[in-house]
Amino acid sequence: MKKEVKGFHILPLRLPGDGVIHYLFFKKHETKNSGEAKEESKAIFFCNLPVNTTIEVFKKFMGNVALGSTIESYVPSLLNESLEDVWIDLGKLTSELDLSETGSENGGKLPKNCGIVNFIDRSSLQLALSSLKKLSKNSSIVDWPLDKVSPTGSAYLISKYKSLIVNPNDLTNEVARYLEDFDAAEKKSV
Amino acid sequence: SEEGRQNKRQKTQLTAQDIQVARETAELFKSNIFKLQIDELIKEVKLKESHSQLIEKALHRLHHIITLIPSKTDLTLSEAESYFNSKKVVIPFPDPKPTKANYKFSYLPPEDVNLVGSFGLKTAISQKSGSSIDIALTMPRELFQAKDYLNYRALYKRAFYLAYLADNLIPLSKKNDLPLKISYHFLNEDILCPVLKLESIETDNENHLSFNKTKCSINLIVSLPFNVFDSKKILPDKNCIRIQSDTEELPPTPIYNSSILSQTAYDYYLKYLYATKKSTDAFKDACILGKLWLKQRGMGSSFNQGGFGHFEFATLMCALLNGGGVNGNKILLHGFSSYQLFKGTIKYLSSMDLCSGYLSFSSAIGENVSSKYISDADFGVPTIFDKNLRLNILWKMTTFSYGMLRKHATDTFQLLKDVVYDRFDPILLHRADFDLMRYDLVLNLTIPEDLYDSFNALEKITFLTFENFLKHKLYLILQNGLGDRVTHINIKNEKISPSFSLYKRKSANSSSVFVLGLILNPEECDKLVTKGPSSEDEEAGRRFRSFWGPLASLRKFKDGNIQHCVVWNPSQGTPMIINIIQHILNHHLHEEASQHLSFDAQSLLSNLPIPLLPSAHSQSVLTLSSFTNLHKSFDSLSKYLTSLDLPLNVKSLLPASPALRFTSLLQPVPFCVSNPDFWNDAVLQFETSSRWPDEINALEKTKAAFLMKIKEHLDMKSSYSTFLSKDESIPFNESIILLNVLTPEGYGFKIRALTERDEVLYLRAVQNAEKHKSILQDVYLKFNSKYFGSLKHTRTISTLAHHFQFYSPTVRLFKRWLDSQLLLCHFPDELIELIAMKPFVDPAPYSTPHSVTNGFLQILSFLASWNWKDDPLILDLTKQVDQEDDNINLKHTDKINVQSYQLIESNFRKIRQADPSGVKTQFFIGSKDDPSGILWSSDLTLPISTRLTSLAHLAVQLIKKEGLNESNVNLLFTPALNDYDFVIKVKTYDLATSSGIMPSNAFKNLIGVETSFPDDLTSKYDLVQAFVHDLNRKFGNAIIFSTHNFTGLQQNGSNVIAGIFIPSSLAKKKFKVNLDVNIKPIAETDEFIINKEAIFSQIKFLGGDLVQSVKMKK
Repeated sequence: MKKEVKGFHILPLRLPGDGVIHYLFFKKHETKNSGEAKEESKAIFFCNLPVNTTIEVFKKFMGNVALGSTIESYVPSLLNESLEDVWIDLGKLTSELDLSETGSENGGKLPKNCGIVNFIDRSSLQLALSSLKKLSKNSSIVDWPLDKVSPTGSAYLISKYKSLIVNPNDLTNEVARYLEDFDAAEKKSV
Repeated sequence: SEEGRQNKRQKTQLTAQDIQVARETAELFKSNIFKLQIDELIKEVKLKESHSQLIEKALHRLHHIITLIPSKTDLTLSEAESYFNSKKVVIPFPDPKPTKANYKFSYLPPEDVNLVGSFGLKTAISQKSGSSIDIALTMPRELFQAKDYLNYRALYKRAFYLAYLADNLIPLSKKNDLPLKISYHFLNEDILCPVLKLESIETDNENHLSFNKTKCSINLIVSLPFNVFDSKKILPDKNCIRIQSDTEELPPTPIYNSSILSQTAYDYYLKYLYATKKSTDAFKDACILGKLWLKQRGMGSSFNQGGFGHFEFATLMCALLNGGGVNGNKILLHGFSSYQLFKGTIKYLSSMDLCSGYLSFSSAIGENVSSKYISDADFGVPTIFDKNLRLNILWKMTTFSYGMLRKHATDTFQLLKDVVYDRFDPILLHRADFDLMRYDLVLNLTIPEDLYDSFNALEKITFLTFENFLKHKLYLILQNGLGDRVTHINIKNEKISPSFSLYKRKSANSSSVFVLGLILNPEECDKLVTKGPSSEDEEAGRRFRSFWGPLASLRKFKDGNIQHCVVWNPSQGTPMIINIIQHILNHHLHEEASQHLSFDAQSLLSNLPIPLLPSAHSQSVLTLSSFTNLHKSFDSLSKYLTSLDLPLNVKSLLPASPALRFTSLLQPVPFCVSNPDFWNDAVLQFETSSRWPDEINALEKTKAAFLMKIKEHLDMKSSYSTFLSKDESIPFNESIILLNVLTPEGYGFKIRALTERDEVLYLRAVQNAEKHKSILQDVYLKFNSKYFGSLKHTRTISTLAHHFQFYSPTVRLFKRWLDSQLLLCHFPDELIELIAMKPFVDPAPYSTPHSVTNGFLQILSFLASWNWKDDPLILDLTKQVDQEDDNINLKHTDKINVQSYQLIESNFRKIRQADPSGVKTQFFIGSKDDPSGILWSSDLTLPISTRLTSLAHLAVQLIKKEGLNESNVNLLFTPALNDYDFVIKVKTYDLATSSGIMPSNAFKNLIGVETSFPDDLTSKYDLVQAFVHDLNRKFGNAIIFSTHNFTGLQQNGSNVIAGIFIPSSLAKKKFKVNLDVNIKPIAETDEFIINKEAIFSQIKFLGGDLVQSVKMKK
């Protein structure tokens, strides 16, 4: 069985439940376009992720395969839960004001079922990467711990319904914050 | 100059004359196109040259054979009967068979042998079902005596003549190499007129002359000599069958008389028609048009087809070329084109009442007697009277078949006047004779055995056949009992073959099944009370009571009048008219008639869910009170919101949901939150302000802040309860917040805010988009449909739903059908509602449905035949206007005019040019509300659109072939799960009650209705829908998921999720980061393929306890 394709390592995963094999693709994440003094990457790019992958799932997973590597953040593709093929920032298309959230990418550019795991430091990354590569090389099948963190069935679906309901206090804060930023950006542009 | 200015002013003022000119120009243009289409059609239906030659050859040989038949004279009755070998040939004597005869039976060579009928006139066309060639053999005059018109005498002589002819033809045709199958045949189902039907036999012998492949058969008609009887004595009001009777005067025998008379005139009328053909170039083509037009509508010269066919149409045209107006003015001119002749004749049929008045004409050639319409004769039967022959050529028609003919003519005349749509196809090419679509209600009456015995001697001589008698009787009963509730009644007997073997005297027994077709008056058909005369009119009161029996009662009405009346009880499942018919037939036809009456559409109607409301069972299907209650609740919310004192006031709250336009599958029932249509969308507009932020997220957040303000008001000061929710309806706009309001009456509204800035920003996004322009255009389309389109749509549909009373239940049944076929989940409500509106605003060649069955079948039939690749659907969503006021309407109207029609059509052409095979856009539905035509169809997919077409096609085929019986209806509403790649059976949820559906097996009194909202609404939501929603987001680019949207309607609440892999996702592929499909490597290759097992595993994982089983297609 193939172990690599176009620079990606292939890692077979055993899905919870019926133990069917799923194939994960990964490679070290390189940021291309920053012109400034380039910070060395601390991230792994994953492709063909199973559904409902969250930072919790990854933490559990890394805990199993690369104990000691610490995950800082996880950026999933915005398309994972979308019917669209590409992500479009409507705000940018309607205003020249710079309102985009600064800092790490928000996942808008990632293709569907992809995600980036950022590690706390380079040694965490190295540890994780070398463990994963080793597993891939040996074609070892690893358990994917989705079942340990994700609710399923009725509970999951009810939570989907509930997630659409907005807490008024949170919304008040969010609106206030956004409009403040907006005012600030507007003033700055004048 | 002065003049120039004046001209200018004149031009700017559109006069009535201008409009008239414009209208005529448009009409001329249309008629030119129509003419081209006619020419094309005439070419197509023409007989093949080779076939004509073959037929001519056969006719020559037949003629020769006939000359070989030897004479036979002066046989007594018993000699005549015993002359034939009764195993081979029996004399087809009419009833009653002669027992003694003081006259003789003879065969002498015919006076004349002539080609008559449409072959004689050369207006014959090639027809799939085959056509017949009529040949008239005139019996020699010397065989008759002056009084032979009495008591069947002439017909007995003729019967012998015919049998003798047959008996000789059998050996002679064999000998002369013209192999024939010969049988008796009642011409036009007239039992007094048996003829010989000759069908060609195909053999291997090369010498044999066979014309089998022409699909033509020959009718050998034995004709009585012209003028052989004194026609004054056989006028329609004379009695010519003398029988023993207690009555002083015997009734007239119009059918018998007319039959005898017309049997003398085959050749005579051919000459009359032929003379007209000579003088009028386009007559022949116009005859063909008339023939096609009648054929598509199931009309013809025979009794059961209504008694109006090619001959009657052609003769009427001749009469109208010689006059026809009230003063004898000419209706048609000899120089008219075929289009004008056809249109003029149709107009005449539609506008002149030939039942209360009649048309008088003369068939004498060269005498120039003008035809004249006489307005107040009131024969009570449809009449076109030939003064020369003294024959009413409409003698085979009935009042009701004439009513149908006139309706067809009126409908067609409207189509002919249409200057916007091309109406050629519905006028001449589409069949319009399927009972369940041409009538609103169709009932089958099986005749109780003992009813045949009631056909007495006097009735026999008046009506000749049991069929004629019973139809007449049924018509009178129905007409009297139904009155204004129906506009047309048609009654037919089941088709009995008019052909029978030479060794039989007559064809099979009488029909045992009669089909009653009713066209309803939607304003009156469901009225609870049948009103009779005032209590003071004793005579009329007595008649009323005797007609209605024990149901008749006296009531005082609101206006103070005391009147006789009958009060009916409505019911959800059975149209009231059915109850009335059952009662009156029991009372007046046969005491057990109702048990012999079947109404097949019943099982179809039972698929319309009954709302869980008190007294729902006893409400008419037209009752909209559940919707009205929702509307009331909406109106008071709207009033409350507009009266609030806010920093920026609410200008309006407009409805945009199926239930608010009477189209939701389930009727709104208070507190029933499991109903997928529980939440009603509404769009709130604030007063104008210039201060909205100029960036989309900031705008949405500001709108959210306003909605929160409104929420605070509602929470603190009203009995409404509210919450806020996210909205996913506009792609990439994640900031939209909706205000959800639960009203104390038990309804739910989801309010979205619209400002004058929204559209500006969406359009700006389109403009700024570079490589993703088309995606942004789709986003704009979504916005437009959600914030504007759905409002317009709701307004338009609500208005039309009030106007077309049967629209609401029909569209709900259609949605039910779609849901049962797992299709509803793929189509926006608006799209479905527009498709369902088609037969209501544009039913041609049928008419606007006034029953759920008719409407439903017309929708399916439209879908089955809609070639959406080539044809847009362009709807004129206006109420039908009074057909008389054409000119007024041309000025002040919302109707689609030629310009807007062409604009919409050109939009379609553009789309098709870019997408000829309909991969991206399948259904194009344009209207004044949406000239783009794709507002509601942009999200469809080719496989789903195709599936809708093919399922509709299958459904229509099934019903046309086998009717609407219970098992077929069940089949119609059962999904074909085998067609899917996999089917997931999910856990059952009983959502019927909480969706507001009356369980089918429940005891009426034991059903609890909900009286309050559950604490947690989501606990009553349908989890299957959430599951499918989630699956679509996760696997939608590889799999099309289908489910029943209405789990509550599924038996025991058991739903399924069926999936089909999109073919492109199944192909092998090279690895790419953005493949979007779950893949696995293929061993020993560089390629990858979809990892179905992993997908199923994850689906099962996500579904958890919901998934009961996954069944894969083998």
